[in-house]
Amino acid sequence: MSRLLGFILLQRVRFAIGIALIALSQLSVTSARAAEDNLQFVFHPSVGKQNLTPTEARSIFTARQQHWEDGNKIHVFVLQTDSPTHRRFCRQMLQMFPYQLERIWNQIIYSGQGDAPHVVVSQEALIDAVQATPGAVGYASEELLENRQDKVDPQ
Amino acid sequence: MKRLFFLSLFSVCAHAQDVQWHGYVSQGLTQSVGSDYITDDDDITTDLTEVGINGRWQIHDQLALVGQLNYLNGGNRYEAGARVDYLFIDWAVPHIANWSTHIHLGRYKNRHWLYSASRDVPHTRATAILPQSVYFDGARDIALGSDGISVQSTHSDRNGVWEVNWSYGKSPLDDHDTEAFLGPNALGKTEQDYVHQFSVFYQPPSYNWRLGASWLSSDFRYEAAPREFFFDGKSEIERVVLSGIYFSEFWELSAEWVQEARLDSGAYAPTFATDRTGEGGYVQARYLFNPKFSALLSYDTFNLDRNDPNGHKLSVMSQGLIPSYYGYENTYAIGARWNIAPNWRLQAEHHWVEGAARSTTRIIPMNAGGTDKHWRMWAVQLMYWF
Repeated sequence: MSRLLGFILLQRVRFAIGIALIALSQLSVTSARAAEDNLQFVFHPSVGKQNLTPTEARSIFTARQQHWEDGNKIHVFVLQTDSPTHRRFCRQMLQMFPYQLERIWNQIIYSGQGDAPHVVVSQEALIDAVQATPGAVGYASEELLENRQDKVDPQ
Repeated sequence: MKRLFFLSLFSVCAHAQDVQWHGYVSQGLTQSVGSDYITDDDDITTDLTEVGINGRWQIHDQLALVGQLNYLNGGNRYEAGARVDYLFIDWAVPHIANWSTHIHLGRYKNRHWLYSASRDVPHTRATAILPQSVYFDGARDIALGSDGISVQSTHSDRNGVWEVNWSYGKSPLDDHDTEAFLGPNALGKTEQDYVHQFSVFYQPPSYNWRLGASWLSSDFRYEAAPREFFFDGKSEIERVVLSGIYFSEFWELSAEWVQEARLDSGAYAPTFATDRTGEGGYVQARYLFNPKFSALLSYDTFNLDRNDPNGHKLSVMSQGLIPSYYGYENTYAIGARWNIAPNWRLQAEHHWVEGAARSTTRIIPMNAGGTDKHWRMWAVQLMYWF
């Protein structure tokens, strides 16, 4: 009887380990996909830009440049600062640390140096907001932009 | 009439998009032990309150009206009360040769040191009590900003970012400032003739460093009342600050060095004159364990007169009435920060101090009993911002 119980217990442990391994492999696949999922800048059509140079991106997202070359106001849209996509944006597109960018914004907002960026809760909401605001710029994943039925042009 | 009302309402709604509001609320507990710098009789106090609200009204693409009102209570460190922190017209000048320029007219903020622009905003600074060598609380109201003009120009390219700031104005002073300079018996009026500042900052393409240098020149005048103990007087101050900050994934290192030349004449006697150059600086390091938790270590040092680092001359000149440790101040501090939730933070710090050069604005025999040679202070602050 005790041998039978021992066998059942062993089988259950093997089953649990198997499930855990499958879950882990799924996780690694998901994270690999996330790492591969590049981000792109999105613009309101009035901006007339296709992309930003790294220097331009940093100047705009650190509020050092608050107007486009034609004099129109830049409206910056970002995700919440603790979102993984925003943190990835800081590193990938601005080559800055998220806390560094947050520090700059706080100094700007609380000393009257410029507008705060508009914070939205999701990438979908960000794309919609950028589309609806003349002079707006933001970012979103390539995959999402490609999948959007309304074919928002990420360029 | 109804139509007019709806038109007005529409106008307000339309303009609401051009107005931004932000603010912060912070409450803390604090204590100074062995000094009346924050509290008397080593009391623990809740006199660590900072509340502020600011607004930005974008009148036009290139023109905005911005302002911030705050209420501050820092115990004995400065006079508690509400004040207009800044209120100015922000004019974005069209780009010239790839330089982005803003001109601020009104009560502008001092942007010439690392933490000067937002030193009263709890979540933008490293500690509740900033390094006193550079951010002396005794002169905080005249170092925050001034009424006048400030110009800020930025140039970015693949070689990095250059930022040039220039400002000229004067700070409004009141009876509290006069009392801070000369004591409660002064019946006359103190005025700042002007404060002129210039600074340059450079950030390399990596953005990991930010290095800067600034210069300040300012004159103060005291006009004595017809019948009083004091005489007309004048103070001339010249200040040079070198600043540097380094960012890495887990470390943040900042340091500033200050040299302050001060020439005082009159006030105590028609022929009274002192000329001294103070010197000091701080280094502080923050380690970020993760986005929520970080810890801080800092060292701050200041000599009232760089030619008298131990304060012996100061003591001799006062015939021993002022202890020599009023000639310098060295502070070691540790701190911890917990970002509880988005826009919520709990921050704690402890400072161990030797010396008293920054414990009071007026180093005179009457004030020399308020601080021991070795003393300490601490603060815990809960803050929220939006």
